[in-house]
Amino acid sequence: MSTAFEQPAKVSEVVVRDPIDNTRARWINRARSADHKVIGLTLIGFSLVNVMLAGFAELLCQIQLAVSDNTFLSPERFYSLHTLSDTGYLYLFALPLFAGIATYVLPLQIGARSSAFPRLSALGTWMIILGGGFLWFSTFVNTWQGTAQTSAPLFELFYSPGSGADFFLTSLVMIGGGLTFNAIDLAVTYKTLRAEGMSGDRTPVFAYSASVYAYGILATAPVLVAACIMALLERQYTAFGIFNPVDGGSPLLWKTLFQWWSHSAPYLITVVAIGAVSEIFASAAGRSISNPAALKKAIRAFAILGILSFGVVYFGAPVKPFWNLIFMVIGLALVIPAAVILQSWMATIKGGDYHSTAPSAFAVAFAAFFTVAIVFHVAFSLPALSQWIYGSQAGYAAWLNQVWGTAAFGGFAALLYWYPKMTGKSLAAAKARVALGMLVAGTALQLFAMFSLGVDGFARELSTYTSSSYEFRNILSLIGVVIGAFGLIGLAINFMQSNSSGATAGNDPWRAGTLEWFVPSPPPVNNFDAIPAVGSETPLTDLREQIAAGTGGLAGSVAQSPTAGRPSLRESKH
Amino acid sequence: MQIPAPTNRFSTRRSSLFVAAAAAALFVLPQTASATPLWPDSPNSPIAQIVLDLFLVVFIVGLITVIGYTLALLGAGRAEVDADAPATAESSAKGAVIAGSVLFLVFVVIGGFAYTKTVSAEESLANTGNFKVTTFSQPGLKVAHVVKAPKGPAYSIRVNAQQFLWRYDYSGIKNAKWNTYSYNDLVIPAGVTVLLDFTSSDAEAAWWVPQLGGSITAMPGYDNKVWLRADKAGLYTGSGTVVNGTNYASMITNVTVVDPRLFVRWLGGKQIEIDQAMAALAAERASGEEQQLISGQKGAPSEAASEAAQTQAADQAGKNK
Repeated sequence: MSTAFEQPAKVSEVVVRDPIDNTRARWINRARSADHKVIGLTLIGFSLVNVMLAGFAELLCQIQLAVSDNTFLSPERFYSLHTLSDTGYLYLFALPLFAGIATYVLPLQIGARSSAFPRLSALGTWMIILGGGFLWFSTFVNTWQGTAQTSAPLFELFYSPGSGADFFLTSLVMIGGGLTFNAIDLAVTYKTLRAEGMSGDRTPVFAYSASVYAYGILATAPVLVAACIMALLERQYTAFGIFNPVDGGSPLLWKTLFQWWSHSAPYLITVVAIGAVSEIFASAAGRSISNPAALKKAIRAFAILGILSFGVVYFGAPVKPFWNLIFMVIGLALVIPAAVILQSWMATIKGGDYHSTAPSAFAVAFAAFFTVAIVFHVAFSLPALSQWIYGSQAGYAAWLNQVWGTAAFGGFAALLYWYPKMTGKSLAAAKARVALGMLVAGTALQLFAMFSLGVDGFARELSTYTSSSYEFRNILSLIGVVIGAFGLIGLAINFMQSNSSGATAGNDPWRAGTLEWFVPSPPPVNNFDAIPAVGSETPLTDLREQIAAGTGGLAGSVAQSPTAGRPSLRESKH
Repeated sequence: MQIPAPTNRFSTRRSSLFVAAAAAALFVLPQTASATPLWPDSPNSPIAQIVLDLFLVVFIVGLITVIGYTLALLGAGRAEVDADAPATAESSAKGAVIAGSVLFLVFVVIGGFAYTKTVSAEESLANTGNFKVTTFSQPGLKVAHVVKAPKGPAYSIRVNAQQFLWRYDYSGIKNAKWNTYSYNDLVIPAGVTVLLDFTSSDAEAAWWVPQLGGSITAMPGYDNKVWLRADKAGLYTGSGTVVNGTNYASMITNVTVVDPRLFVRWLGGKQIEIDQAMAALAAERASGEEQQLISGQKGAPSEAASEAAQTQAADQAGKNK
């Protein structure tokens, strides 16, 4: 097989050839960097800034809802902030967080010296960041009437004059395009740059789930880009008539295109979280993941069924009942891979010597909220029930659970787990547990209050209401947001403090089995000077056993000096 | 003699915390339970009954799964490891696949059965009087699905969403006059099957009355045909579920369910009210007072007259598009 990607060696040379120049400003070095680790950390940092902003927007919306007939925010301001908090959580927090972690960890886990297309990934990252800026800016020029997610012709010029909607749609184009570029890099890296001996069945579960996420993004994000470009064109030239029924377009088409992406994205971030949490449980239990082959199949099935079940948004819309039944079957089928995933976690913990760590505590919280998400998924997949509950506040609680819950518990679990690798420092574990307690309490309280509101007939995304019987639960929900916010701020402070004054972590603080723990923390620019031979899905465990048995350690590994000719790693693929 | 194991400081603290939390819960829960219902309240239509049944099934299975799995996961983490035990944990995923498949099949059967019941209209319980249904088609709208009219009498009502009103058009009822309509309040007879045709003249909207069933999408350019039968008289309130613009929250959906005989009388009365309002409007126009009315120099017009004015404005807006 020749040579499409002749390159772990070459790419790392690219990285090394363009080294950090300390005479330049730090942000210029960051912007110019083609190092997947710098790119990943940029995305992660960006996501952490945005979760604060999105959380603040949500807090304002919750204050507006705390009492009936409140005039704290005008409806225009409310929907603008509501849109920003929703899109902020998904597009600017959850997706960049998981994309950043995957970009950082995936090449290290598969023993690559760089990612395949680091400059493409960097382009994607900066597109996401610029798009995020557009998104936040759109609120200052916003004269539009509602959330883009739900409103077929509402973004038309007739309803939303001014440039707010243009900025909003443009930002979605840039974020969708950025995620696509990043996903191309991840998918190709996974496919082509694996270390010698790492066949498909030996890849780490997180790397596998990151590649599934990447393929999922490639299948969905370009559709978002296309739909938003169509909408932008239609705003400029009414003759297009794509979505606007007045000009002969179909609002159902917008719903289809947009939901193909928007319904899938939460499932894709869940997939990355599942991969990370599996690794975390395994390392906390001091063993390898139970039944990784079945787990990988389940992760793939979860992503595919998650994307295909987008049709649940048609329940109640004018479509043929036959299609609703098809989407019901597809949606319900998701419980099978979910059961396999849950069983694998349980078996991993049961079959090992489990010691709770800060990341694994987050992972357990993720497992609980993930189970809740599956239950909601089942409820949404049953057409009659879905029609009732999807549009209620309980439906919004389910969305928050899947996006915020996945990112805050699964994503932060992953961040805590790889924090020692990224910074070289240990995170203060006790403080992280306190933050986790607050996040769990706040999120659970908020979601419970929203759920109760929903079953009591409170519709989603109301900007105000008249009945005072809803006040108590809306205040509970506000309290939940505040508690969660304190947990989030505590965690952020912990990240910064530990980075500056934490204990040195060493290469392998968790004694885990995958390759990223072989390299120093933080890893050097070229990741690996020598790559251990991969003979199983836990090469580092093998290495420890070999050293303990005195049979070699690095004897079988591919050792190189920067000047020596490097053996081609490409030939070992598959 | 067995020496009792020293009590772990943390476990003492943890258990005292647990006791405190339980006591607080016992104190708070009865007071909040009535304020935080966990399932839908008093369904009043066959569809809402199906929704409640499905809800309870998913809720109970889900609650057991979530709590059971979380506790089991925490318990598995705390359990002592038997180092000599064979690696039974490596067992294949067969058990999970079988459990998942059983759940899948059960839910497919339950969900499929429930859904087929919600898309085929049931017969009326009550006598509708002399009114007969005429199904009407709305020109230019796409229809994906036609509700089969039930045996026996039924009414057909057209529902139109616009920013930010619901307009209910009763002219599908044969004996009613062509322009009998109401805004925001849908009036239907109890126990009589009603066929509803939803559409929207501007943005996508959704119509939801929790006690009468799930939300129904009103999409511009489409005719969404559904059925409804409210079994008990009363006033039912609801709202939209899809943001259709800034005043979405004000777009309430009230349904007044009345005795069938009262409904007939209401239709006649509404017709007279509208006729009178139209006549008054025509007279005002003729005397040139309309401009003064609009500029607020005269007293506020009657409700019916303002409704009529709104219709005209809406019709005008429709024509302009």
